[in-house]
Amino acid sequence: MGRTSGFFMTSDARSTDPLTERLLADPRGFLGDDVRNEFPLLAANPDLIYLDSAATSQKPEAVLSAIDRYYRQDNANVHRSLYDLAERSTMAFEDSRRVVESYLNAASHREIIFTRGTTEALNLLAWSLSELLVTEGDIILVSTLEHHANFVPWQQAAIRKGAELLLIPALKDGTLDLDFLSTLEKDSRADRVKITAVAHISNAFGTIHPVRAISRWCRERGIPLVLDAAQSLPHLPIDVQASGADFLAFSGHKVYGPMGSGVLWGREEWLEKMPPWQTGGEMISMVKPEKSTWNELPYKFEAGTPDVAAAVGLAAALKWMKDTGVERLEAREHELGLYTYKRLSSLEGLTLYGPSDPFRRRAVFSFNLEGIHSHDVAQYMNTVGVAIRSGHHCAQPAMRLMGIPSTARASLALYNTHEDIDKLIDAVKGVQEYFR
Amino acid sequence: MMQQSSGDLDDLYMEIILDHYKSPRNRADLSHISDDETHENPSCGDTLKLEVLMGDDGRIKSVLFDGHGCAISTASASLMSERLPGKTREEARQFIDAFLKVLRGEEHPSRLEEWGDLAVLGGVVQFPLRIKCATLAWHALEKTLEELIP
Repeated sequence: MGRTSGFFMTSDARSTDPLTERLLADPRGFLGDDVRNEFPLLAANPDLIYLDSAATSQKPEAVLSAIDRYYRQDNANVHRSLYDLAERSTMAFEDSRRVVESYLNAASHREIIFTRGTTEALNLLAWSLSELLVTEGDIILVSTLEHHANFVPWQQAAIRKGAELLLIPALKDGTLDLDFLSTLEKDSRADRVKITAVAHISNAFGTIHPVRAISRWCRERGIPLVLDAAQSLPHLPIDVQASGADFLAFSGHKVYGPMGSGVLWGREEWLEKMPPWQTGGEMISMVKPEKSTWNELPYKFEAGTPDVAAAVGLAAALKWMKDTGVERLEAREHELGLYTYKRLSSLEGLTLYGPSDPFRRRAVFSFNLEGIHSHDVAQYMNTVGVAIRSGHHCAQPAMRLMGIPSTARASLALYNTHEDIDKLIDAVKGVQEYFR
Repeated sequence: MMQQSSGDLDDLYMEIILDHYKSPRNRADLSHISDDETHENPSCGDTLKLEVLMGDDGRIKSVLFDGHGCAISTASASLMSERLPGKTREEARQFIDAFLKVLRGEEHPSRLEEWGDLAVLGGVVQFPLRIKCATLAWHALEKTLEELIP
């Protein structure tokens, strides 16, 4: 089975391949619940039910020790000095880039740009790509279900360029309405679309967006497709070359890596043409009083001293996921997701948002309890050790679509167990009792 | 071990707060007020509209509110609206100022005791993340009073 199977299975189709079916049949046998013990914070807090991994994941020992080791043994600035220590630091940084390259199956290390996270990656792109492609009267296409990080940078780019920000609308079940693309054809607005940017998985509702269909539409028109993979990379194997996307952004801290780490992947032919976003040290080739020339990829987009330890920690996280087995991990989470969906959707007085087909969603469960505000739900749950999120999840347009100000959100990672979900369900009942 | 909130849940959701949440006083349909004049807590998406009606004697006649909020923000708006009628704008300003000082931790919650049921909101101080919920209505009132034509 190729690495791409997971991506395509979960992007569009409901059908499963034989490996995934086998894993689904016995996911816990493949990866026991003791995986939780590899996470020091969770091991030290056995009563904590952590269901907020869509906000940030906990970190395994492998990641913590890699960061610690870097600072204790290899710390020096990169790409500059000639002594051994600086050489080791540069190697640690560039090896980390190779780990990301291999994890994403990118065509080259030149396509891997380290950033502080998804937000920075998308800001870089929104600025640079709009400089290259967008002029007055053009259209930037995003969706109603985006996280603000994949919405506001494009909105601002559109304002700067005198362009229009168009939203692919969403249906009430939290899926995208792709008929809108045909509408764009009919009134010939499609010709004005210069960039399309969508999330792979919605952080508000867990919807897996139909990336393959969107990418096909973009490909036919030569429009670059930007994928916000912040919520998908932790849960699905992704092969960027097969993905149909031209750019992909993700955050290290949601894939078991450290905060302040992130990656922008882009196809080299695009990155070559794009102007640098931040300027300064490291990203230049020649600096003269009147003008400068730029360093080669990926350094053109990495101005200043990078967070080397963050890159090292991110690489350690991806290695850890690979060693654990991305398919195993995916199957375990998917099975737990099905269980969560079944338990939550059977509760009275609970509205669960997002697709009703559990195969079209992943890891994120947004809900409201009748007559009880999400804040009060989360506050109660804290007292019984269940950590969930409440609020608009940085997705106000999506909340507005549902006609709600906020939701309670439980999100899963590979260290969660059936017992965690049982406690969540008990806590929901407890909230309902308390506020009755 | 995990750091739990210092407060007990029942210190936050006192009987009076739950009562005002379930049956808010002075909540009305304020759809005639434009959405641009909605007050928001951007961190959680809560919204509040406020209308202050002044009497001919220069005193507040009534305060009405509308919007979406949690138990704390709804109860806070409801309790606030009950205490305001009869106050001049200046008195209302001092009232807001004193409340916000308590919620910011600059004054002891016992300061609220002379205000009857409102005193229960002093318990919110133990829950730092919920302070914004309790103050939303008060900041809205502050702004509304500023914008009132004298």
